[in-house]
Amino acid sequence: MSIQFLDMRVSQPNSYSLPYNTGPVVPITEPGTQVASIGVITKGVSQANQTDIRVVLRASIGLSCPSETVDYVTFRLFRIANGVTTLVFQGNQIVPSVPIIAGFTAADFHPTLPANGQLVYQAFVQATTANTVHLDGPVSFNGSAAAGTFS
Amino acid sequence: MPIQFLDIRTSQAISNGVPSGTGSFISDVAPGTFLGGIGVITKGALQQNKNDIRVQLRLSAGVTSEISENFVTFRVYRISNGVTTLIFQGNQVVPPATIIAGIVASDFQPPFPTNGQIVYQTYVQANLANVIHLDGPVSFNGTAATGTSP
Repeated sequence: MSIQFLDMRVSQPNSYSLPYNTGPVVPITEPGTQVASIGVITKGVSQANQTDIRVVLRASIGLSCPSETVDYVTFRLFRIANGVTTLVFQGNQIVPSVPIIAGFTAADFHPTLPANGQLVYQAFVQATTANTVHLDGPVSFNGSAAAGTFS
Repeated sequence: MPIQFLDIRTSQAISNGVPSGTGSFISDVAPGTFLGGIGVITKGALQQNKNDIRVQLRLSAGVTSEISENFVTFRVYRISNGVTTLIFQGNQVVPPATIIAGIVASDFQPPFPTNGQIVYQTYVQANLANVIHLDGPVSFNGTAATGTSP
């Protein structure tokens, strides 16, 4: 089957960063706080391409720690399809005592075909030390999906 | 000619990062440790769009330096028609802590591959041996389009 473009979705809950150390505190309970979510529509996929979906995901998240303080955050991406939640990406990142825009790209290769035609992706951030890391923004999360190949 | 979507390809070698400083060491020998490879399919390009391909490439890699600050070099190669070409290279500091380092790279109007596939490979090289851990995650992906509005 030929290659199909399926969808691209964006979620930018926070377009402008706050002054540093003024955003909400990032919690230390797993999996942390949900910062963004998208629903990628796969309804257009042809029968022959249903088991060959590829999704690319990207996130940028503005974080800060108070001066003289350093902490780690854990980023997680979950897929929700057919009522099942699956961890698809997880990584650690230091937050120094200066504001940073942390970011990553991730992929979901051959996810389960969702019966309702939508793959939901959620991005979470968790801190290591309580009351230390601030989610100052911006926060942007987006994804694109394609399926199929040339025979 | 019309803008065409060509392909999205992904290579996620490590989905879940291991605890900081426990991943394997990154090689200090050029071009370094292989991180991922994708084959972007361009067979769908119309004849008149074959010379206007654009490819967006993105890489994320979780890395940690031992004790002191060091640096890594990221490289992206294109393999097309049997020719390997370095298309992107950059240095990044790695503190004695874990970061998810990343790059965005582009390949503008690459030579059209006769077999319909452009291969991209990415490597990371450390400045010294046994100082920088590849803790993951590692994700490399690319998107290609071609053409423009008439």
